[in-house]
Amino acid sequence: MKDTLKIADREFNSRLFIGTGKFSSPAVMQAAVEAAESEIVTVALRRVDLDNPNDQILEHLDPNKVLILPNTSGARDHTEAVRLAKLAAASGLPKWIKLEVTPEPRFLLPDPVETLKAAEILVKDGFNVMPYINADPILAKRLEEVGCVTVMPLGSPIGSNQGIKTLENIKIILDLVNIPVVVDAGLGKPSDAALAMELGASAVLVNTAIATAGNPTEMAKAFKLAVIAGRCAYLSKIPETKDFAEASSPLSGLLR
Amino acid sequence: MKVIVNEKEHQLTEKDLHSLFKDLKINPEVVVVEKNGEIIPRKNNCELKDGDRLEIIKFVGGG
Repeated sequence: MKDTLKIADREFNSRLFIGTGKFSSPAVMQAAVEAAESEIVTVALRRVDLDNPNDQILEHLDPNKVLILPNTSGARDHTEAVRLAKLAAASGLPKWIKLEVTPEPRFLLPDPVETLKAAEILVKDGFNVMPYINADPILAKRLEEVGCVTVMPLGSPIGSNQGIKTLENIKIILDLVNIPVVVDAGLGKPSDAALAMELGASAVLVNTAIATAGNPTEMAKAFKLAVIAGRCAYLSKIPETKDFAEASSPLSGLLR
Repeated sequence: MKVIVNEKEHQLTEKDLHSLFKDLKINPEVVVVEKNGEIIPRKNNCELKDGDRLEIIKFVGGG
């Protein structure tokens, strides 16, 4: 069965996005992306280290195989986010941006007001905007209305590996919005990713749980399989939960 | 003359961006540059004046 993920005008076979931070080396990152068969990979923008200027992550990613999705990490308000998005576009990459505005360093929770402001500006400027948000259904709706191509609600704080603590609100987002919902941040193990997909999320983004695993390549594969399993379960229509037992074996012809 | 590169002062004899790249051993293909808050289109050269503030930026791993 053909089951591609359509975002804006592009179609993807993989529903597992990978963040490229925290890997022990670019080669380990590349092996994980390949094992995951991921087609959307995030990167960040930072000042060049003048003592080591040419260490270059993009050399390890094939733009024919993956969409390189720059983020605006580090932005504390909409002005900084817009500036980073424009710098990313100036590099010659396609005008896609993962919009992140996280002014508070301890929990790195996204600022909803600044994110919405930045999204409006960037959509008008022709970007495909994928905002990282708290799991706020009304904010998700507002971002859809201003023209974002996905919403990316968090499961729990970035890098915390706590899994999906925002479950009920993610369910409401899935009910309310008509653009792809990508569960991002906090997914600590493959079962967290499977859960997101079983709920009906269009995709998940994983970074820390793969990059800091004992074996990142094998963990990338485990997440790939979990995402496929969760998606397959969702499409197969999961039977309802019941309060009491319902025998699986026939109740007639009993030897009594 | 002096320019500010990523918040650090840098002494310069030639007065253009590509000479600065040579000085700093930076491959222009892999960076994005902002001069005094304005983006310089990729691979373009530009004149530099005393006191110009440059941000030289590249992609790194991130989530």
